[in-house]
This record gives sequence, C-alpha cells and structure tokens, in this order.
Amino acid sequence: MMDIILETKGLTRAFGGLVAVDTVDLQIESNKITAVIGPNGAGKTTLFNLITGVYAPTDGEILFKGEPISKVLSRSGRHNRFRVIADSFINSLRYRSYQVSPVQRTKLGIVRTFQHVHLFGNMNVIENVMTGQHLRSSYGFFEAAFLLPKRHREETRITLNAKKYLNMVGLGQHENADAMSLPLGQQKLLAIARALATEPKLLLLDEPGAGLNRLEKQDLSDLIRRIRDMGITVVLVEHDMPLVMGLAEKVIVLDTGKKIAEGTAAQVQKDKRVIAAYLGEDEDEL
Amino acid sequence: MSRKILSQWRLLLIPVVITFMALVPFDWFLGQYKYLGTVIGLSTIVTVGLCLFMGYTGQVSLGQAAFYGIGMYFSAVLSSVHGLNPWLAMLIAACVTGLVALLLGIILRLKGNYLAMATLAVGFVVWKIAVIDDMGCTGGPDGIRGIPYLSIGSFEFDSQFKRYYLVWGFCLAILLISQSIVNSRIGRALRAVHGSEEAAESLGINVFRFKLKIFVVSAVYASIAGSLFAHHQLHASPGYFEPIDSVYLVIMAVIGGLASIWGAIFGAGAVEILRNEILIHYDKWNMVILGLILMVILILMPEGLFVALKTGYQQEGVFFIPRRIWRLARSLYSGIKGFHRRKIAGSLQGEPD
Amino acid sequence: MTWEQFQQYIVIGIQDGSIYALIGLGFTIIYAVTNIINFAQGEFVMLGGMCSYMLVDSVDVPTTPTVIIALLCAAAIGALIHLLWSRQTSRLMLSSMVVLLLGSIPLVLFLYGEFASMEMPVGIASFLPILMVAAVGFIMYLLGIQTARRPTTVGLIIITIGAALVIRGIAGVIWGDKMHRTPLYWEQRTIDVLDATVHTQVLWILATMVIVAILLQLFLSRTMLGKSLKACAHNPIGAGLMGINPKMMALIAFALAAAVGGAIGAVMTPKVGMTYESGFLYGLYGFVAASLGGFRSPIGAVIGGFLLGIGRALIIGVDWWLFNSDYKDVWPMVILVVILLLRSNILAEEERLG
Repeated sequence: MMDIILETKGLTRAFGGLVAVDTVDLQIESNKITAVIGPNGAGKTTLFNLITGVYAPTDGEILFKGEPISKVLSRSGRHNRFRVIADSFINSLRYRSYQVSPVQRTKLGIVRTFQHVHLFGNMNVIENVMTGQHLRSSYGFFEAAFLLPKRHREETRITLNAKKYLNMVGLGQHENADAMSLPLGQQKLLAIARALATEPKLLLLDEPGAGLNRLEKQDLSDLIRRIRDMGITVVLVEHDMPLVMGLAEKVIVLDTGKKIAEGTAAQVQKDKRVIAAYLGEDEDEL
Repeated sequence: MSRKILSQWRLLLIPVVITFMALVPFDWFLGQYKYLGTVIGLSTIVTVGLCLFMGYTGQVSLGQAAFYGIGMYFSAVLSSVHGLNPWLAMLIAACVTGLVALLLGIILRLKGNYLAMATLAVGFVVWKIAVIDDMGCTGGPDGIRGIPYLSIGSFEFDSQFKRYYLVWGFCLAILLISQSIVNSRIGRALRAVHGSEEAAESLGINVFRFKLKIFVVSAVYASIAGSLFAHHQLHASPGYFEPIDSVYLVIMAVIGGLASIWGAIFGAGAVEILRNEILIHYDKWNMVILGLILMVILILMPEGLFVALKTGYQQEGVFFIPRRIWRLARSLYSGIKGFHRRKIAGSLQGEPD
Repeated sequence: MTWEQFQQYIVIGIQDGSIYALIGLGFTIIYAVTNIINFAQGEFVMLGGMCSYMLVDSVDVPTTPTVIIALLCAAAIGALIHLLWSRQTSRLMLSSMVVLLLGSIPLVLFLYGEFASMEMPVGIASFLPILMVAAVGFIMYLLGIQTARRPTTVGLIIITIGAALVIRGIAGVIWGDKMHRTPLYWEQRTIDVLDATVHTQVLWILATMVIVAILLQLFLSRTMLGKSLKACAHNPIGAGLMGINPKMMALIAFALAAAVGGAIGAVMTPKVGMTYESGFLYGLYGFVAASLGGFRSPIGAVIGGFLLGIGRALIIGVDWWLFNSDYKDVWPMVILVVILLLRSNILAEEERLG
C-alpha cells in the first residue's frame, strides 16, 4: 500500500530568466529510499531548497503528508519593483503564496543535510548532535539562567539521545573531539547524526557520498538502510551511480529542471532519455 | 614546562583573583581605586552583553551606550522625581529598555555594514533626545540630580566602599547567568547561529529570533548597568553615554574577546584603566592609543585579544604566550646562539695565515 | 513661512547639501570598489580643513608629530604617483624613499624653515591638502585594511572606526581643541540671488563639487584605471582574472575617496570652520547622503546630499511639532534607518520571489 509522504505538483522555480525547476511532479513514498539524480545543474539542490522552504516556488505546490506546505495562490505575471515595495508594506499581500517557514517544516519532520557539510565548528562532536535536539526540547532563558530542574532533566535527555545517534552512525568514541578535527567522511556522518537528532520523518541527504572512499560509501549505504528501517523516509541526491543503484528503491531523474524519468534503478539505467542526458545526444557513441 | 602544573595553577588562580578583587576597596590595599573598580564593574556588565551579541551574531552594535542611557535615565527619573523605590525603578527601566530593544530589533535584518550604521544612528538619536529634552523630563544637558541611593531595608549603599561590592555583586551574578545560558540549549542555538546560519535554520533554529533575543539581553544588561550608575553617581546626564562611548564599549568587547564572558572583565578593565589612569595624562593621545589598539587587535586577532591569548595558551603555549610568538622567540634565540657559535668557529678557521 | 524665507531655506539647504553630497561621494567610491564602509571618511574631510589651515597660517603646531606626518605624506604621495604611473608595487619602496627625500624637504622647510613666515595663497593651500589627505587614505589602507588577516566585513568596519579614532586623536594633538578657520577665497562674503542671501564660499564649494563630479565621471568611464575600478566593484574575482589587481584598486579607491574628502574639507573650512571633532557629524551626514543614493551610485550620493541638505533646512524652517531646529539632526538618522530597512526588504523580497 503506497503511502505518499511528500508530493509536488507542477513545482516550478525561476530565477529571473533561468528556470531551475520546471513543472516537476513527483511522489515520495514513505519508508523507502528514493534517489534524485541528474547531470550537474539539473536542479536537484534547488529542489531540496524548495522542499525545505528556503526558496518559495514561482508556481506549483508541495504537499507533506497530504497537507500543503507550499502553495502559490496568485501569479502576477512580471512583478515590478513597485509591486514588491507595496507588498512588503502590506503583510497580507506579502504572501502571494502560502508558505510554511523552514523552521516549521523542520518541526513537521523535514530535515536536510548539506553538500558542504556545514558543521558547527565552534562546538565539539556531541554538542553538534545535541543542537539537533533543539526543537525536541523546550526549556527557555529563565530555566537556563537559573539552573532550574527542568533544564537538568531536559539536558540529560538531550545528552542521552545525542549519544544514541552518535553511536548509530558509529562516532560514539569521538564524543568530545572538536567537530572540525574529524576527517571528511566522519564529518558527513556527524552531519547525518545531527539531522537524525531532530527526529525527522523525511530526511533529505544532499550528496552524502561526495568525497568518501569506497569503504566509507559502503558504511554509508548500510547506515541509510538502517535509517530507513527506523521508519524514516530518505531522499538522496547523488552522483555516484553504483551507490545509488545499490541503495535506492526508486530513482527520479532530473535534467535542466524537468523530470525525465523515474522508476527502479534498473529501469532508469536503460532509459534512453537518461542516457542521452548524461552522455549527450550523440547515440552513435554508445 | 609541564601543562599539568599550569592547569592546577589555573585552579588556584580563581580564589586568588576573587580575594584580590574583594580586598581592593580597603584603604590599606588599593582603596584609592575604589571608584575605578566600580566603573570597571559597570563597564563589564555592559561589555558582557556586547560580547555575547557581537560574538554570536557576528555583527557590531555601535549604539550600546544608548541602552545604558535609557536605563540610567529611567532609574533616575522614576526614583527621584516620582519617588519610586529604586529597585522597582531599576526593574521598570530594564523592562522599558528590553522593550525598546525588541522594537528596534527589526534592524537586525540588515546586513553587517548597514546594521553597524543603524546602531550608530540609534545611539546618536537616543543621546540627542536626552540632550534636547523636548518634554522637560530629562533635564537637558545638565541632567538629573537628587537621585537616592539604593538600599536594602535600612542598609543604604551610601559609600563608595559599599557600592563597589554592590556593583561587583551584580556583575558576578550576570557573568554566572551568562555562563549558564551559554552552556544550555539556548547557548548551543546561539553558537549554532554563529557557526553556520544555514545549518542552524535547517535544524529548526529561528535565526532571526535568536539574534533578537541576544540583542534584547545585551540591552537589558546595559540598562542594569546604567541604573546602577545612576544610584552611584547620583547624577544622570547625556555626557555619560555619548556616541563615542559606544565605540569604547566595542573596544572593550574586542579586547575581551567577542564570544567570551569572563574576558569581558579583562576588556573592560584594560580600557577603563587606560582611559582613566594612564592616558589621562596624555589627553588626546587617549583616542589615538585606543584607536590603534582596536586596529591592531582586529587586524591580527579578529576573535578578540583575550580569546586569542586563551586559545594560544591552549595550543601548547607557555603561560599566556601564544604558540606563534613562543616559537618565534625560540627560533630567534637559537638563531642568535647559532650565529654566535659560528662566529667563534669562523674566527678560528677563517683566520688568514 | 514666507516665500522669501522659503527661498532662503532652500539656499541654505543647497549650501549644506553640497557638502554632504561630496562626503557621500567619498563613501560611495570606497564602498563601490571594496564593499567597505569607511568610518574614517568624515575624518578625511576634517583633515582637509586642518591641513589647509596649517598651510595657510603656519601657526604654532607641535613639531615632532607634524614632521613625521609630513614625511609619511610625502612618501605616500610619491608612492601614489609612482603607482598611477607604472602600477608596479615592487618598486613602491624605492620610489617612496626617493620621494620621501625630495618631497619632504620643501614641505618641512615651508612649515618650519625659511618660508615659515610667508603666507601661502589660499588657492594653493587648498590644493595641497588634497594630496596630503589622499596620502593619509593611502597609508590607512596599506596599514589597516590590506594587512588584516581573515577580514570579515564587520571586522573591517571596526578597523576603519579605529583608524577614525586614531586620525581624530592625532588631529586633536596637533591642532588642539579650538575651531580653525581659513580666509575666504573671495573678499566678498555674500551675494544676493533672487530674494535670498548666498554665502560666496558656497559657490566655490559648488564649483568644487561640479569639478570633482565631472572629473570622477571622466576618470571612471574614460580611463583604463577608472574602468578597472568599476570592474572591480562589480566582480573582484573576475576582474582579477583579467589582470586587474583588486588590492591595487582598493588602494586607489581609498586614496581617491580621501582626496575627495580632503578637497571638500579644504573648501568648506573658510565658511564653517573645523575642529578636530567635526569629522564625526559630517561623516554621518555623508553616510546618509550615500545611503539615499544606494551606496553604489555617485550621482545618487550627490542627489542624496542635496535632498538631505534641503530637508534639514526645511525642518528648521517649518518649526512644527518635532520638526524644529532641535531635531534637525535626528530626522536624518531616522530616515537613514528607514531607508536601510526598506532597501534590505526590497532586496530580500526580490530574492525570494525570483
């Protein structure tokens, strides 16, 4: 029984004249590992940004668990400067679209990691992961300043959870190391642990395998499968074909902003349009 | 030099420093510096707020003195003209300042350059409003007098001696509170914002709201300091929070270290001692030296002097000398020794027959 | 307010506005090329005035600091000239040494030696400060900005604040607390235009402004160097790939902005006088002017300057509620914050909506 956790309808994002994502319809099934692939500049990272709410779409909508989190209400052709000034004064007109903010989306359970990791260099390993638990804890300034019991309770819980996730990705013994002192492969694992600490429902991994060697990629695959088994839906953007083919249960292919194919790894590999997109139009070469 | 000895030595340092500071106001010790000590304490309170703000948002506030002034004036007016209990006045002043900071918070949406200018503008406007005294309640350029002392029950803080402890008591409390905030989830969120705003947002931390919170906190700290000052000097006037004072506060924060809490004492102390004791004899050179210090620190150690010294020490430095300088000194020393040896050897070999 | 009064206020507005326009121009030059807001811009203006005073009157100034500064200035002038000529930094040291010897001798002689009692004609006394202040800007960039490690935007701002403090302090040491005035260029103090009285020095200020604006425009659009500066402003990395050295460009931008500041300072001192603290307020006004123009456009800064000047004058004139002479300095600040917010808001909206 297919359970769609995330769906996009006609999702479009243009930057001036450049259309980065072009009327993309896709459906992400829950508890499965989906991969989004495509040549460079296909719009994969923009797609992630749209899903996490960093960008607002120019057109189309995004539904999370059936509820719209991003919906364009009205399109006003070419927007000009005056319209923008007016809009920014009048709040109700400001949202020509309905947008759930990035922070809210994280609360709902949509979390991403970054291609360039973006760890918090001023903290150690476990503190990075503990930061991920921020939304799942609630004590405020007052309790923090005066060391009230609520703070102590929550800090213990946060620390325990952080250790759990660190162990899950295999970084348990590096708890107190400086975050930036880890090699790249482990930094990526740390980023994943941090994202897991937010207790997400949908985890978006942006090129998790980039810069890893074969062994590390093997460990990464195992980790992703374990994450899926925990009940989290995983979507990853990747360039490494063998990694994707071995891991993904569904593959979506983008090229210059459009979706050109989807299906299982095997189906997509044979698709003529996919081959053309990656290798160019010259089929005589094949 | 064994680091173990040094770290134990650090633990000893704390009670030594505390005893030192506690004994300062006694006349047989450093009694003549009571007033200076109190001023340093007040400046530290403001500086901690500024250090936290600048450290965690990565922005400059060139208008912090304005919040100091608001606290000072509200305390002054409410307790003298309207006869309110000074403690209540201080509380109200802090709330008002917090509110003002909250409303002004929208300027935090501006980028670095522009925010700096906006805060400068704010600092200037608040000061000017106090000077103009349109509604006759701030006493104009002369300010307000007749402010009562703070008191607990029948115990009045009527001497420099008593006020020294009052101010430092507040200062210590604020430092400890700040420390516990930084170690908490709030502190982690702030450090996250400082480390990578993008990643922080992705974890659900509302970056703008946190910047706003730390801005308000720094304003409230400044307000408390201002109120304490009003009950100390017994005079509130615009001369105590001119726009240039905001710049001096930035210098204190920079010397102390931008995200550092205890370093604020160092920063405030350094600047106040320089300004009031050493450079007062050199008049305008005051500005020059402080400006130069500011530039040198920002050029060489953008994270602040105290923090740089601390990290330098942690990275296998000796005492507080950062590794770089230690290595430089050592290589110079061995270079000179080597040169000397070669000279001796050379003079034996190279002698012409 | 009567029609005559209105005209008078407009005239006053234009008088002040021309000053703000030029200061704003200085901000724009540096910001456009380097993205740095130079808090020392106001101090450059102050220096221009002070230097012209020093040259004209040759009064008692403490010898040692001025001699050192004179030497530095001469060195910097020499280096600057060499730069514009050959654009090779490697020979900077050599040429600095040479010009240091050549250039400083007449300067020091003039101040303290043979010609000390002579009064320099005001015209020349106003031109030399331009070079001297340009030299200061030059030094400031070399020592302060270029040497910074891992410069953050905010860090650079603080550095310029430090530089402003240093310059102000040294000026205070050299010239003391008093206000200094230089003689008017023209004997006649005022002339009447329509129903209003115009101060003659203002005509000189306006003339300076026009000349500077034209020269700047020509420089930026016609000469190779100017075009390189503009290229750097748009895209420093791309410009670098084209063989343009962004550090050099920044250096020239600083010297240029300082020169402009010095020019306006020299030309306005006969009218308004100058103290070592004047720089702060003028810098602030110049900043507001530049912000009205969007920071990157020199023309915008000029228009902004005039708007600011006229606005201020009218606020004084209107004298209603909070718009009176007490608050004449407050409103520009408020407008500044509002404009900054609006602009950032607009930029953010455009980015979001694509």
